[in-house]
This record gives sequence, structure tokens and C-alpha cells, in this order.
Amino acid sequence: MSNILNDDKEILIDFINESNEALEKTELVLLGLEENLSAGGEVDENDINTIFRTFHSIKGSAGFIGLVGMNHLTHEAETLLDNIRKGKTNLQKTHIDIFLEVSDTLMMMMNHLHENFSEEGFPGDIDELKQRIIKLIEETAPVAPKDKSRGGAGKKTKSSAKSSGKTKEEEKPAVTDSMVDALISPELVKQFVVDASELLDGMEQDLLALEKAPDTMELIESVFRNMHSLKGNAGFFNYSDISQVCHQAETFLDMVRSGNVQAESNQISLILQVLDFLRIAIENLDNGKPPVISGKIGLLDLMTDVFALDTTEEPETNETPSKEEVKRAAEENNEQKPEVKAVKDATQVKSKPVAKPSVKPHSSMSDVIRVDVEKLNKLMNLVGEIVISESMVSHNPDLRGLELESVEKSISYLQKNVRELQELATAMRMIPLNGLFSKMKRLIRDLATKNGKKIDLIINGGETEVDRSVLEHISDPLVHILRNSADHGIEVPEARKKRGKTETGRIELSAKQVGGEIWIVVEDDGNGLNREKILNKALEKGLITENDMDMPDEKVWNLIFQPGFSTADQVSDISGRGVGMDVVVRNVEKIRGRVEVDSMDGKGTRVNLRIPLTTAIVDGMLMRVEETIYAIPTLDIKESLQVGDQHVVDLMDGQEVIKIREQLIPILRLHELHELSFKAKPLSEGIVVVTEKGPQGIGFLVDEILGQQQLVIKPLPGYLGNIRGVSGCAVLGNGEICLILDLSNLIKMVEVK
Amino acid sequence: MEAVEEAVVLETSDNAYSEGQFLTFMIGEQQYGVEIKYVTEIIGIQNITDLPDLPHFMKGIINLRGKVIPVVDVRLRFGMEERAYDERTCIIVVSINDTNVGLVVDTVAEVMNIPAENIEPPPKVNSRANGNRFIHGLGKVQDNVQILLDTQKLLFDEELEQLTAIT
Repeated sequence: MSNILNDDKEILIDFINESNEALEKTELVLLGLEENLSAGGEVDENDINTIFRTFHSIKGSAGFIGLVGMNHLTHEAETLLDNIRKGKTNLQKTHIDIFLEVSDTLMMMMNHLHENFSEEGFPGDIDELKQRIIKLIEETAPVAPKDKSRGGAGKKTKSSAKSSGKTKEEEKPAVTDSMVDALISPELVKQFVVDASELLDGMEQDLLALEKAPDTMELIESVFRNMHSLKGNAGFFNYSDISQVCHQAETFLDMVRSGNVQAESNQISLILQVLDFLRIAIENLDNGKPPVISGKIGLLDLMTDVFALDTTEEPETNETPSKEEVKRAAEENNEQKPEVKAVKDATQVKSKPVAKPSVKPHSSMSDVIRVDVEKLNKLMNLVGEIVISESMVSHNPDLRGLELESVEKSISYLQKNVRELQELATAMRMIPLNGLFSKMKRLIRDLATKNGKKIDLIINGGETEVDRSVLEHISDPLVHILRNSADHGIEVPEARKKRGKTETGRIELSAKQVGGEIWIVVEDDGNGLNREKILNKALEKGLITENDMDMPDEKVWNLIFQPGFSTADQVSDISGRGVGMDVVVRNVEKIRGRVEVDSMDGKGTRVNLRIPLTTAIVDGMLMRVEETIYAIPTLDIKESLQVGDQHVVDLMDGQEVIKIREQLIPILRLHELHELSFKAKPLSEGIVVVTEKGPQGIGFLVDEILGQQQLVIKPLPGYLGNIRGVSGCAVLGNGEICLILDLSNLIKMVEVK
Repeated sequence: MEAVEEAVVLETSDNAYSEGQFLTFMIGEQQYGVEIKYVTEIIGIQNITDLPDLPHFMKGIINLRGKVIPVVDVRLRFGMEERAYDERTCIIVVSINDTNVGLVVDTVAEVMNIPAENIEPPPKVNSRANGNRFIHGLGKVQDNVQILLDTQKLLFDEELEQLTAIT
């Protein structure tokens, strides 16, 4: 294992990625099953099959790659599942628990693999888990004594084939595969590729014509014939992906052909897309790779939806059409004459039942490729550079004052393209929140089980997309907030009953885009925050004084974000150590977001994370202080004004405060921040920029306001260490660097003063 | 070919004060050298953006073709007197451990080859200033002595670490 070659690493990484995806899906299915089970509902066979498939395919690949531990573990899980599937045992909660555990362990193993490229040294106790599964198998399936004799080691995979009929079944095609492979010569494959490409080209032409004249029967017939031939050929070569997809398309075409349905334009364009998929598969084949269609399941699902196919009745018959049929299909293709009988047969020939995961993958999977994040980051950086160089060109001082019509035209063209490029690059990094949200289901389930609570987690707006870097930063905060809700928020069922609430608590996790921000809201109908308790605690900790006891609610709620603040009477192992909420705020502020809390005592709490759409670009107001240029995000600026002397109040500690419309706003002289100038300039000589951040806002004294600009944020070089009050910098069009102020940090500095 | 390379490697591992090419520059009347393998480019002095909370020898950041890199004034790093920048002032951009840093020097002199036998360890004399800890060796070239600097120490001395730990 340790001597994995570089080429194999790629295979391994593919395997890890695919398995992780499948495992995540499996977890959801398991949770769904559990819900179903506790509600006394029927167990959906499809769900069991989905889980079975996942374990089975991991087992197969692991065996192929030589990951013995993983192979054995999945094997046992598969055996247990198979018993359940065959109805030997009824699905019980213990089973779901153990499957969840297996799935977790597998994910951990995948991580381990990813880091070490080897199974060795995996810290988890696989054997122990395996033993427990075997015990369950023994308990549940005394009919299969073979399992018993095998003990824990699970040495021979072969015996599994005997004990589990399905496994055998599934393994059979593999054997035939290799037999057929032996018959297929490279020349034959080459011929197939050429034929297939021709068929695809022909279909494409026909479909395009069909789009213009949807009712032309000959065109439909022709497409149908070609599709059928392709399916037949692919079936002969055992290219199951191609034949499955073709089959689905063919079924639809047949419906159109027989006049049952009319081909809508979106359906035609889907067939065109299907052709693209097929073309990729065939190109792969031409390049010596297996003709797999990535995202096949999603594609098949999509086709079922769009074509309104009824796949449920499909009988499970042999997946490969007989040779005669293939032959006939080929002949038919050559002669180009419709043959009713063959066509009829064709509709009966069923490919492998369409793999239908009961939990649908995020909407429709289309033509997706995996890209290394590092590459995306580089692209994003490069785009940032291009934005800068564009403005270097268009604001070049040499061009100032010149009337250059053609240059201006070119520049505006360039600007337009650069902007589009920037938008596109940003969009490429966007990921839907679904994945993150569905992980929370598991969290809430575990917490509820542990604390004897009943909690419904309702998820809305999971399709909302955020920048990848944002996703990384909100994952932990979200976990903290949800833990708080489940741990402190939702009461135990009895307490809820007393309060006249339903026994089952409710936590709603939702996301939506509001302007340039994403709002992620966690709302529960639990305890709510207790004003008195918080105030007393804050007093005790010295965070506030007696005078502050009548502060408005929102300020009270904000106290829970103070470091070390926790009102939990008891520290549980999950939350209540008082390390939660301040971490939330810190993490969210890192991506220039903010956290809002609202609560009603006894009724519930609402936490709102407001996060900017992207962290890479900000609309900033530029201002000059002596030689230095600063920027403040435009969204944070309330107003800017020149103050007369009459508004200025000097507090005892030297803090200057100005009064604007009955509001007192502390002033921070940015000059002092840098010790740029020691001469105390009267406030009236500069401009005060008032920002909205902080409890009452804060005013910055600057020399001049330079204007507003889109800034590509760059981090400060790590070499410099932490810089107070500056969160990053940006390069301006003229090559100068402006410093982006870290408002929350600066506000703290003023408060300390 | 391979044998030759190996020989060079052996030699360097035997002798800590390795020979090689050095880029030399002037601070006042004294000539200093840094190993050329760390140097990525030399640029003229340009507008440096100041930042709050920097140690005095760090001048701020510059924009190097869209990249933002920090700048250290070698004079100040050595505890010498500050000197106004002029048209001969240069920034030597060095890259070490994936960190790019600009070094402000009075002026750049030349690139020279100093054989190992001409490099001596720094004197163990108790120094009055703190400058000695940056010295990697003393290179003798004809009648002159070049102070060869330890780039690693110059950039990442513990003084800097302490500073980042405080903030």
C-alpha cells in the first residue's frame, strides 16, 4: 500500500471524492429512513438499495485498489444490509445507528487516505466496528450460518458471495465483462467510435432541423433509429453508461414517434445535451479511457423528469441486448429503413434499471468537472490583477487630457470584458449552501438524541450560493449557533408542554440573498434569552456597570458575544463553556460579515448571520490621511461631514465626541493610528466620515475624500504580523496601495480608550 | 556532469560558510553581500505605504506589479542612522520560505564570486551593536572585506517573532 505510484494517486483521489459524495448522500438517506422508522412508516426499498449500492461500490473499488480494511468493513455492512433488503431482518434503529457509524468511519478513512495515500496508520478501530456488525448479522440472520464461522477477520471475500445472493448477482456482470472484453479488439472499438460519432452527428443535424419544424415525422424517425443503433452497439461492447442514456432518450423518442406526445423545445434541447454527454464518453473511449458519463445518474434523472417518463414499471431484465438485436440494429442503421418490429423490440429491451437515488442530488447535475481549488484561487487572483491592470491602462496619466476616440472605445470594450470576466470568476467559486445545511441535520439529530429532546430542523433556501471561502468560515459559527439552539434553546419535552408548546421543538435554518449580502438565519422556538440573567452575568464579569442595567435589548443580546460569556447554569460537553458565541462573531467578521441576535424570553431566539456575497471584492470609499490612502466599505458609511467647532465635545480622557442630531459620536483620528503627525489638527479642518458599525457609530477624521471604487482585497503580507485596525489592502489604478480599515477592530480600540 | 554536481553538494555540506555568488550592496562605506539565490530582482526606490504598529525597521508595503510585499530598511535593521532615500537607493527583493521581502539599501554594488576558502566565520568579539547576529561570514576579496549576511536571520530574527507574538 505504501508504494502507491503517482498515477495511482489520481485514481485514489477520484475514488475518495466519489466515495465521499456517495457517503454524504447515504447519510441523508439513513437519516430519512430513521425519521420514517420512528414515524412508523414503511421502509422504502429504494433507500436500502441506495445505501447498499454505496457500500457495495466502495467495497469493490477498495478491493481493487487494495484497501483491505475498507473492503472488509464495507463487506460486513453490505451483508447486513443485504439481509435487511431480502427481508430476513426488519430494519431497526440499531441498524441505522451502525450504518451511520460505518459511514462516518469510512469518511474518516477517506480523509486519512487523502492525506497519507495509504490505509496504514488509520487511528479508528475498524475491527471493533466490524465485530459489532457481525454480531448484528448473527443476531438477525441465523439462517446464514456462514457468517458466523467467518468470525471477525472476514478473510475471504468469496464467502460473502455465497452468503449474500445479491453480491453474487452483482459480481456476475463483471465476469461477463471481462469475457466480452477479450472478444473486443482495438479495431472493433475504433470502428465503434467512428460509427458512434457519425450517428451523433446525424442526430444532431436532425434535431436542429426538428427544432425548426417540430412535427416532421421523418426527422423523429431518423433520430430514433440512430439512437437505437448507438444503444445497440454500446450494449454489445458493454458500455453501460452509453446504452443506459441512449435507452432513456430512445424511450422518449419512441413516445414521440408513436404520436403519444409532442416534443417540446426544451425536450429537444435536452436530447442535444445528451448527445454532448455521449460525445464526451466516446471521446474518452477514443483516448483509451473508459466511456463513462460523469454525472450519469443526474442526467438520467433529469431525462426522466423532462421527458416525463414513467420508469417505475421497468422490469429488471438483462441489461445487454442480445447479439442478434445488436446486429439488427446495425443493419437497420446501414439500410436506413424503419423496421417496426425491431423498434418494438427495442422499446422492450430494458437497460439496467435507472439508478434512482431517493434523495435527489442538488437539482440537475449537468456537465460538471472537478477543478482544484488552488487553480480557482489562482484564477481569481489573476482576474484581480487584470482588474488592476485594466484600470492602470484606462486611468493612465499619459492619456489624461487627450482626445483619443478609438483608444477610448477600445478601453471601454476592455472594461466591459474585464467586468464580465470578474463576474464569471466570482461565480465559479460559488457553492450552494445545501451541503453545509444537510450536515446540520445530523448534528441536530445527535444532539436531540443525546439530550432526550425532540427537535425538527427545517431547512430553507439551501440552494443559495456563497463564495467558497465564505462557506469555510461560516461552517463553524453555524455549528456553534445550532448547538446553542439545540442545547440551551429548545427545552425538554415536559418543559415545553408546561409552556403550552408542542413537544417537538423547531429550529429553522434558512438562507436568502438580501442585496449584496447573504442572510443565514437560525431561528428556534425554545427558551429565548433571559435579559436579567445576561445582565447579572455581565455585571458579575465586570463587562457592564450598574448604570448600564437599563440598556436596550439589542445591546443586552450583544453581550453574549463577549469572550468568556456564558449563561448556561451547567456546562455540558457540547456547549456552555462560553467559548461559543465570541468565536462566532470573530469568524464571521473575518469575512466581513456581522451577527445579529433577536430574542423573546420564553418564545425563542433568532440569530442572523449577514455575510457579504464575496470576500474578494468590496466597494470602498477612498480617503486620504496625510500620505496614506484608506478605504472603508461603502456599505458601512452613514455620512461624511465637516464639523464646526460648536459640535465638538472634549471628554475628560481626551476622547473627542461630536454631536450629530442629538447623537454623540466618538471621533478617531486616523493620523494618530499611524503616529503620522503629532500636530493636533482642529477637527474643522478635516472631514469626519461616520460609519454605522458599532453601538453608536464612530467618526473618522480624514484629510480628504477621494471617491468610491471597486477594490480587489489582498491580504497584508503575513510577514508583517498582525496590524491593528487594517484588515487588508488593495492596489489602486495608479499603482498606489490603499489600506482597508478593519472597523470592528478600530471600534474596540476606541472603546478601550 | 553528475559527478561534478555531487562534488559541489559535498563541499557545501562540509563547509557552513559556503562559497557562491553574492549580490553586494553598500550601506554607508561598507559593502555587504547576500546570497544571490535568494534575490529575485532589484528595483529602484518607490512609494512605500506605511502601516500602523510596525517595528521601526519595517517601512511598510510596496506594490510590485500587483503583488503587495513588505519592505525592510537594512540600515534601520542594523541599528544605524536613517538616511533620506535618493535616486541611488535600491530595493533588493529577496524570496525566502515563500516570503517576498524588499530590502532597502543605499545602493547595489555588484555580483561577485567568493570561493569558500576566502570566507571566514564572523569574529566572536562581543559586539557593541546588534548587527553581528545577521552575519553569515566575512568574505575577503582582494584587500576588501565583504560582510556576508544571513538572509534568513535578517528577515526572521527572534526579535520579529517576539513582536508578532505581542500583537
